[in-house]
Amino acid sequence: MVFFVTSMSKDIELFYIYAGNEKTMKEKDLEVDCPWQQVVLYAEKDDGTYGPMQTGSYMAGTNISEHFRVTENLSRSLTEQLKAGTISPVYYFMMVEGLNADELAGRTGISKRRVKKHLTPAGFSKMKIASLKKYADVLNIPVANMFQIIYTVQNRDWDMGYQGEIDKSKTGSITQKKTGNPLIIETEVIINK
Amino acid sequence: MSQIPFRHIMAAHCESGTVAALLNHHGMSISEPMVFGIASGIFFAYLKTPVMDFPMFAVRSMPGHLRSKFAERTGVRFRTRKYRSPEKAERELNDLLDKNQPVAVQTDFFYMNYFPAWYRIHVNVHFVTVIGREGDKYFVSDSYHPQIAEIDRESLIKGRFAGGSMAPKGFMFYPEHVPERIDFEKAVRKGIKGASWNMLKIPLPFIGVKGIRRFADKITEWPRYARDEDYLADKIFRITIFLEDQGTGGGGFRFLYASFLQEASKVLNNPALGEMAREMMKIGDGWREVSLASAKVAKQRDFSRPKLEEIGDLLRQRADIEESFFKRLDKELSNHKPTGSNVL
Repeated sequence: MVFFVTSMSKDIELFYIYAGNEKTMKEKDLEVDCPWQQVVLYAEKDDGTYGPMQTGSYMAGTNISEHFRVTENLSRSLTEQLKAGTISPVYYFMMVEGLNADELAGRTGISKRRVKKHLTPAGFSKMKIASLKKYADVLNIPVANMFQIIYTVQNRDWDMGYQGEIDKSKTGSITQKKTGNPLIIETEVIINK
Repeated sequence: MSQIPFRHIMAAHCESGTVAALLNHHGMSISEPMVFGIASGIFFAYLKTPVMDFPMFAVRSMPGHLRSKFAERTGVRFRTRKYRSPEKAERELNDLLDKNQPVAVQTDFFYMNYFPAWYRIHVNVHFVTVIGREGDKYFVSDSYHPQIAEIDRESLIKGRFAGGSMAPKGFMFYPEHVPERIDFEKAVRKGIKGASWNMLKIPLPFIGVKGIRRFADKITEWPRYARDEDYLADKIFRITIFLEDQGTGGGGFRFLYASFLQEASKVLNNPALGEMAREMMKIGDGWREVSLASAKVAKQRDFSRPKLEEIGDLLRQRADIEESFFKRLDKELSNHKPTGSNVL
């Protein structure tokens, strides 16, 4: 049998322990301390019945740092490509949101052929503002963000596995608010002192 | 208005959890595993179509089937609606809430912003129960959230009307009629027969145990579809996440199904099913070995053919074991003599 360990080890080798006996999944084997993501798993209870138990997600508890590393790598690589003019802003945000051309076409109502054009810098430069607005709505950003790269410093104190250095003196936030004009937003930068 | 009194409980899966919670609200005492089992939720499919960037697999039946199959087999009637107009959908939802009717809605999980941003992905088949509103916010019972959550009006509308694959189109449902007497024995038998059909007899090479074998054969091709190492590692790690973490109750729904079989054993007064429940728990443990192997490959970034074949071999073992299991389960049900004593 295989079960989760209860510690918060980052080592995937400790993810499971093989006991090789005739037990089935027991409730106590599944207790994981991960308050920020709770899941329900089914296991054998002390009285021999099977049922649900609420516990922490082992995957979120142990693999969140890897998830962020991959996301940051992707974001960094896409930003470089965007600055070099080899991809369009629509492509950038599509990738960041985890969508693909088919899904973007379905969500915007723009044909797949056109979406594929708009993913290239040349196609983007010829796009109508109405189409740009559709992309911005689906990609959950203001239209203005298609034309700027905003750098922020994230506070990662909550991430137990995070190894990177954060310059807390620069920690701040950016607030973007809607206005009555659907193409214009207000951007406010707040620096923590 | 504010919140309708509603017993919020977390569940393994959003659809079975939502259906079970709504039925309990309407006075029917039923567990999540019973909803899942009666609706023949256990499943397997391996999919790769020309429009898909990357292969995917499913360990449960199509979204929506849990509700519709459960209704068909128990006589429960759900009122369902889809909308073209977000305004109309919102108005009708509000009207129902004003009448103290909790309503399940289909959403894009991405917009459920009571979860942290890193956790939210675009999936158009997430189900939550809306249980009240106040000003511009709604109260939501989400099976994946420990407490009643709050969501702003705009996010709920965006989630209900996200486009793309399996677009929700404002879909909502709630129980309209719960029969006073339900023949659970018959419902359970049909549920088990349906599960055996799903896993053994659907004549498509990518469904059921044939689908598990296809997955086993094709996993060595995965590097071909990946744009880079990070992407491939993420996709392989998702095998583990889909089996263990993303609303399955662990072991790709097999532990949840074992729980159903244990309840079914009592409903049918058939001890053999209790034994098979224990066997299903062990089958779930076997799926955890697939999870472990996948997590190791992803973590160590060794995408060599032998390593991927190791995962393939474990999948083939799952296919062989589940083929034998569901054949015996089907036979057990065929030999079972209905008693008619579990009409509740």
